Order: sequence, then structure tokens, then C-alpha cells
Amino acid sequence: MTRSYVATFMITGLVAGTLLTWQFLSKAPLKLNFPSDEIKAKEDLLKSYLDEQSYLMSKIVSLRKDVETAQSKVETGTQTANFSLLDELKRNIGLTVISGPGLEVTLDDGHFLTREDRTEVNNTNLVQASDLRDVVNILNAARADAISINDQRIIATSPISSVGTTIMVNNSHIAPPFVISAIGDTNMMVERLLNKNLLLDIYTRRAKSNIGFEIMKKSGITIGIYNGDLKSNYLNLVKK
Amino acid sequence: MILERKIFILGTATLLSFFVVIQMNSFDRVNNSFQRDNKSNIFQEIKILKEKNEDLKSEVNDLESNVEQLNDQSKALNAIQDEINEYTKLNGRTSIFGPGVTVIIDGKFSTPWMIDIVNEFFNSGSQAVSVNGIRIVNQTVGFDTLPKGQMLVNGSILTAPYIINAIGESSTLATLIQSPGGIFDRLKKSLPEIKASITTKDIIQMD
Repeated sequence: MTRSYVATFMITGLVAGTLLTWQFLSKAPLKLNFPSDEIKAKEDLLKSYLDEQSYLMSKIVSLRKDVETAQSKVETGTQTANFSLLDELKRNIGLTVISGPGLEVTLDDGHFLTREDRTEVNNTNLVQASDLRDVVNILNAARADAISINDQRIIATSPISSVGTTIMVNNSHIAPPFVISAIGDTNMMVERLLNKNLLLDIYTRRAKSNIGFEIMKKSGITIGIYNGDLKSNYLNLVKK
Repeated sequence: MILERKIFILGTATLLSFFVVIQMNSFDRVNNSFQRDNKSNIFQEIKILKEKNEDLKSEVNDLESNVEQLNDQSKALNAIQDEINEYTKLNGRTSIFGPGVTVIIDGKFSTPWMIDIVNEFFNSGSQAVSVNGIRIVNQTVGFDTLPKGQMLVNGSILTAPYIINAIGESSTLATLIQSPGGIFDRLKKSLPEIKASITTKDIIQMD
């Protein structure tokens, strides 16, 4: 038996074994569980919720302006209420617009990729929610005054999570590129972000051109108010 | 004899590739068990959006009522005081209490895990979270790692056991935190040596 014969049988065996095993391990359903019109209906439902969410968020921003206007009218008429305390509290919890020098961090998926396959959570070519959490945490550790992701103001209670390949900030969808804006001590923030040990995974993936990661200093940034709900129904003040 | 050799080579090669694919698959599983975000689907996405929109509608109603009261001279001052009280609870400068859960995690783990745990609590509806007595609010300086690997938050070094308190709907919090694919599940799969427990409480105080 010649060597070429042995090689042919060996390669045939390897290919056959690989294909058989892949087939054996395949998790793809033999029969589709949902007809395509049902999937389309769910996508439509999702879109309607997202449209409603955008409307409600803009309504909240508008109503907060109305509250502000109404309060300023009361303020001119009375000295009884503690308006300076109210303003300070609003600033602390993200209900005031903040402007100043800062930076923009842009994280983007690898080229030629879409997020449509909802099962690929762990794709190294996609920006993950954990990447955004890590960057936001570093900015917080560098004492940023205000942070936003794709114009969504980040406050302490803001969850940054993922559902399949969809990233949600404040339980609202955001899409790549992810632009994280931060106002604060620009040099301190940049110094921390350039520390590869703090963002090891991001820098490793950027070195392999899996994802995009850029930092840009900005002389002036404006970050809008938090446009979500603020819940405190389970919180009670301890009376002094 | 030659036929036997052919079958032997074919069989060995098939078996070899079978093991190679199985091995690749197990690498994939190990990789997945280390992932920091959980897998979900379109149903989960719709559920989250539906609940979020309900919360937003409730906020819109509250704000509309607030504007109405502020425009009524007799109610304006009370409305402002209510707003001050609400924002004071969220601010973190005043002690608060409420029902919730206490999680105790003993063992060594890295800062990204702590970031994920705190994030998961807020994602599950917690209205206030503290780590080893430090409440996480907007003014809290983020988590940091010291050169020797210790965790730092707000200028304080955190040491095990890590006690994480969360105020909110206690049964919902306990269920979500311990759900399959939830943070407890992922933490235990990635770091089996970690000891973690969760207890629901009627009253948790944060100072």
C-alpha cells in the first residue's frame, strides 16, 4: 500500500469523523419551533415597545423641564422651601445637565459583523456589556462628574446588561458604535484608561483587531439628564 | 490484509477527529462558563422592555402630578418637600432602611466580578446597594484594584467576606440573583472554591 493511499484514507477518515461528530453535537433544532411569521410578530412587538420607550423617555425629559419651570415660579414667590438643597440633590442624582471638558471613548464591533444572531453572546468580535461596565467603572474610579453611553446618562443604579447580543443601558437598547462620554479630570481619566492591566481583555481584543477602542479628549462635552424612572418606594429615611 | 489496514486507518482517523471535535467543544463550554454576561432570548428582551415601559409610564404619571401640584399654590410647597424627601433617599448622604437581601461571598475573586455583582443587583430592581457597608451612589468612587490584588472602593480596601446588601423587593431579588444563568450561577461555575449565600431580610439599614 503506497503512502498516498494511506494519506487518502487518513484524510477521508478525519473529514468523515469531524462531520459526523459535528452533526452529532449539533444543537440546531431539526424542525423550526416557530413559524417565520411568529418570529416577525415578535420582532414587531419588540419594535413597538422600543418606540413607546423612546416616546416615554422624551416625555420624562420634557416633564422634568416643566417641573423645573414650575419650581422656579414658586421659588420667586416664597423663601420657605429649601431650593438650594433641592438643586444639590438633583445634581447628585443625575437630574441636571452637566457641561465641561472630558473625553469620548468609542468601542465598536469588529468589521463585517452584525448583531442579528441573538445566540452569539460570547463572540470576541462583539463589544460586550461587560466591556462597557469596565470602562464606566474606570471612569467612576477616576472621579468622573457625569458619564453617558450613547446619550443615556449613567447613574449609580444604571444597569448595563445584555440580552442575547443586544446591549441594554438603563434597560434601553443601544447599538454600536458605543460612545461613552465622560466629564471630569481628563488627564486622570485618560491615564486610567490607558492602563492596559485595567482593561486587559479590551486591549487584547483590540490588538487582534477584533474590536475598536478609541479615546478622544474633548474640550467641551454636554451630558443630558437621566431620562429614566427613579424608584424609591422600598427606601425609608431613618428619622434622626 | 490490505483491506484490514485500510479499515484500521479509516477507523483510527475517524476516532481521532471525533476526539478533536469533542475537545474543541469542551473548550467552548469552559469558555462559556467564564462569560460575564448571561444568555437570554427575545422573550426575555420583550419582558424587560415591557416592565421598563410600565416603570416609565409610572414616572410620567408621577411627574405630571408633580407639575399639577406645583402649579397649585396651596400644594406647591408640599410637592417640593416630597421631591426633596425622595431625592434624599437616593442621594446616599442619609441613612435609609427597607426590605431586601444580604449576600455573603467568601473567597478570592477579581474586581470585574464585583462590578458584575453590583450591576446584577441593580438590574434585578435593587433601589440601594452597599458593599461591606459602603453604599453605591453616584458620588461613590468606582472599584479599583491595588497592585497586590486587593479591591478598593471609595478609598476603602475591601476584604473577604464581602457583604453585599440590597434594598428592594426581597423575594424577587433572591429569585433573580439565584436563577440559572444568574450571577450566583456564573460565579459558582467560574470560581467553584467561592462560598456564597443569600438571605432575605425584612429590614436592612444603610448608613
